[in-house]
Amino acid sequence: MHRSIPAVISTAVAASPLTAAWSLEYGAVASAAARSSAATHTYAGSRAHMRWGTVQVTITVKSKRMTNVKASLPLNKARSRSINTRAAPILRREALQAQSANISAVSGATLTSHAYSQSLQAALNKAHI
Amino acid sequence: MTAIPPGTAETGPGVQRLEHVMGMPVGIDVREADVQAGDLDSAFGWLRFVDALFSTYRGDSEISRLNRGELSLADAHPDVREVLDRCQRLCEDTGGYFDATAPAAAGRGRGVDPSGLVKGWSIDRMARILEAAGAGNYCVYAGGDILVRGRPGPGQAWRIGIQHPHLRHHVAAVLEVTDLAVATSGAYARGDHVVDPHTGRPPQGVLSVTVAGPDLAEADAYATAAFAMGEEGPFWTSQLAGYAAMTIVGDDTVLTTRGFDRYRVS
Repeated sequence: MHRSIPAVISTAVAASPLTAAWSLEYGAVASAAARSSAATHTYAGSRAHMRWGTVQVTITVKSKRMTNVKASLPLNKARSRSINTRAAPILRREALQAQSANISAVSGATLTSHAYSQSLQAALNKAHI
Repeated sequence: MTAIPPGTAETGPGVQRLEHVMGMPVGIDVREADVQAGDLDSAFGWLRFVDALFSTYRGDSEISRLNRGELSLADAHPDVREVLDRCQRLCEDTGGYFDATAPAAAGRGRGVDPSGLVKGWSIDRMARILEAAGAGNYCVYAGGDILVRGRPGPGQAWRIGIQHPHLRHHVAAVLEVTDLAVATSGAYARGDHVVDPHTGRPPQGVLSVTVAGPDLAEADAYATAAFAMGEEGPFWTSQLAGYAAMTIVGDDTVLTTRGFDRYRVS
């Protein structure tokens, strides 16, 4: 049945459950284990089917700790086109910024599906952690 | 360590917890002295109940049984009917760009998959559980959706970042707010999972749409629909009553509706 995934990952992440939750979705934060000289192994989970494609999760394990999580899906290279100009009068357009500010939580697009969880679980099972 | 320093949940009164439920990580951060760990048990218990009722990955959920014709709508849980009703209204309101139908079992026509609404709806309901327990100041993170109420501390506001589409540990904007639901739909995190229901293909030109307003279920549905609209999305979001939006476009520009500036500090 369902293993307690947070119990595996929570050792590696920051203090707040909000940013820890975000870290679970955007890649596990590297723990001290990742900086050691122990051998690194990667384990690929099963290919799990979701609505519009398949997802496969690959984890990197070092010293029995998961140090990275990656999920593969066919990526869509969004073509940069100018947005319909009729939108201009009621929308403000500005350049995309990159900030790393002190924040409580991050809202982002995530792959929140059981397909991801299933593939992640399969990878954890293979790694015996 | 993450380049975004965490909120300081560890000082001051309150309780915090992270659990993996409904296929996503859910974090609750309550800043009240008289809310107990047991109240968080109720909150997460509610989400597990929702999962049992709605999950399309569970053969014994009411949604799965509905889709196989083993359960009638009249016999379903009232919450199932409420969610499906809201999905229908949102489908109409968004011109079909929020679509809760799904391929059904052979010979049964279209089934239902209300997952897109259930996520935000269950968090809105969970917030009522927290409030009944005495929480007036809290922040909930659920799979990229955020719901905040009150303040993290006296004289403070919750600081919410909008995920940068290319740089994992950076944000594209920062909001400082006290009572708000924020949801983001997009195609950068781990590949595409939203398609335009009219074409069946991923939307072009837009990287993400963030919608902010009073109700997380609606914000999430509107973000999903607006993203699926592609380049027509930003204009559509500017017409939403009570909700503001920020769209990140593939040419690294950002389009915001007038109401969105009210929340931003950077």
